Amino acid sequence: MVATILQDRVATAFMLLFGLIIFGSIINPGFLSFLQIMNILQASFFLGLVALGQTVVVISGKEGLDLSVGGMLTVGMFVGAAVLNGNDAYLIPAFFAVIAAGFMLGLVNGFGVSYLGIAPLIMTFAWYLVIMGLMLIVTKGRIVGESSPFLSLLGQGSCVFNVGSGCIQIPWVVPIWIVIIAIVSYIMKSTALGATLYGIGANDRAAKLLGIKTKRFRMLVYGVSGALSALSGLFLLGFVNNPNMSMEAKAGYMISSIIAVLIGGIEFNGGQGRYLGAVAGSIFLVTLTSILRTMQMADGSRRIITAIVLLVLLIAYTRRKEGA
Amino acid sequence: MSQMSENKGGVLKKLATRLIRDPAFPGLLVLIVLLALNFYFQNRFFSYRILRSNFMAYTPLILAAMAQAIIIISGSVDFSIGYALSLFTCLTAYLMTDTNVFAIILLGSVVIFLGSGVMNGFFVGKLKMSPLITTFATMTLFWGIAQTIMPMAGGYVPRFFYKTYRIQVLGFLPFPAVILFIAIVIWSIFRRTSFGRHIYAVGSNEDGAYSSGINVSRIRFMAHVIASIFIAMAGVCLLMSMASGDFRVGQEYALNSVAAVVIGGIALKGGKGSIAGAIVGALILGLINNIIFYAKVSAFYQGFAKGMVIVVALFFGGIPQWLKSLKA
Repeated sequence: MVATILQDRVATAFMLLFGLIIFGSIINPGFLSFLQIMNILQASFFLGLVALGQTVVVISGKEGLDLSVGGMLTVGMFVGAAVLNGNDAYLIPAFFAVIAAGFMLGLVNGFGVSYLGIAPLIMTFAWYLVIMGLMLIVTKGRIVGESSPFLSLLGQGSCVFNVGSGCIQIPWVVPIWIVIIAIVSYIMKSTALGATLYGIGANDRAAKLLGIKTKRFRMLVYGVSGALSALSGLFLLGFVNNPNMSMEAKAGYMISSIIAVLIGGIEFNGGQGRYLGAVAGSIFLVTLTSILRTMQMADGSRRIITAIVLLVLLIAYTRRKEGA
Repeated sequence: MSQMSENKGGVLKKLATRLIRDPAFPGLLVLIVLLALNFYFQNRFFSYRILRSNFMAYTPLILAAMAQAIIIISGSVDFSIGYALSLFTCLTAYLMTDTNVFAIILLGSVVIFLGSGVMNGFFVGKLKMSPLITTFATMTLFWGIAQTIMPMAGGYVPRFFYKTYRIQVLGFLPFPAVILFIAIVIWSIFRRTSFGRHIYAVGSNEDGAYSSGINVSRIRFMAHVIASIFIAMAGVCLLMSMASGDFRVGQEYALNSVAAVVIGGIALKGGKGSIAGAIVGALILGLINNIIFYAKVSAFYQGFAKGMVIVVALFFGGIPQWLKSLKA
């Protein structure tokens, strides 16, 4: 029984999450309240969307990684705020502008990685520095524009159900996330697109022999990752109202999205893994941060613990592979 | 007589072809162009004072790039070099007093040797974990420890110690140049050992090296360990030039050390290139920063310009492969 659960990476990820929540409620008895769980899910959504881009890139193989996600997220925030400028009427243009900006910037990563053979880790990190530099030039460090009422409602508001005497509040992003998870799971499992993604990740040469344009596909994958991170930035704008350059670094989206993918059992060799795992990973990380915050831990110590979690998981997964 | 001159011509020709075929050759050309540009922006560029201050500024990156080159040639990569340097400066500047300088430097070096060298080497070499993601994790670890030791830049470095970085050995040699010389000597000794020969074999063809009886995991472990000597030296130079500890200092070294290696013609896949290439690459990055500074680029543009330089360098490094794939 235990062995079969451990075989399934996604189940393992949810077990880890479950264990962490139990640990949290031992440390802080009020931890397991409905409100607290909803708060954690709401905060996990933004990371979860970034982690989706990361998932797709990692599955596409060839040591795929995207370290520029934080830059794309910042671009998404600023482009969204500039187009919206507090006005709901521009919601649809803002949506498409954000997606397009993220996608175009991501394509540069994809071109470098796929056609020029630059190691993804290095290409995307260098591009991250360029994007952040570009944002500094464009904004001159000022705040330009703001979220619109409807976007803010989506980002921070909740739908309220009256149940008997009390009421249940569910943040809007939670149903949105569930819909996204369902769509992504369908695409990855049951469409040619998903099959192609796993195919080029598992065996690039075989995919090429089957007539798939693997280089172009991999380039587009990085574009998709950029678009998803930028979209996460748009929702984040709804959450915080004003765009902010230091937000992504403070929240550590770069490192967190990678660890979320790792916890989710998505292998860095590519060609394998499910988004649901990364979802569990995202919630795990936000829960961990929240627990460490209630324990009054400083940034440095939080980083040490994150690193240790990462190393332990890496060692465990590598060892298991060797054993198999 | 005529035969001799003919011979001489042949030798020159051989040397020239060897130079042109060297992977570091494009970098060398760029370096010459950059030197000219620097001279244009800063007329006194070749004056002793300026050369010395440049030596002081570039030496940490040159040493970090040498370390990165050794690791990359062995077929691994170390993303944690930057924050290992952060950790070194924070730890030493935090503990240092007027009387314990050398003990603390020794302690810091041991920490780098064990953390950056032995630990990374163990994970990558013995446990065969993916070097990119593993050193990314150890980077986070070093970052966290450095930030915990010193959440704000500061600490204490005795005056006599950081002043040493600015002295002239034998009346003319800048101190960092001496450190560099020592580093190069250390490497040329290692280069002549069996490690120095096997590191290329392991990097270029792991299976081939394994079947010809080379202990692949040991060589890769040793690459990280030996590189940590240079990382510690870079840490000492960085500490002396900053005269304080700062956990933020590492961020740019992670990428710049890799970029220097790429610019210097060392293949990221391993097995190819020379340490001299890494030095050329680091000098190029340093000179570009110099130009950005002296061309009076606004502070808002500096981050963008520096990042763009690296992206362009990476793209140029990849163009041959792209052309090859177009032909195929």
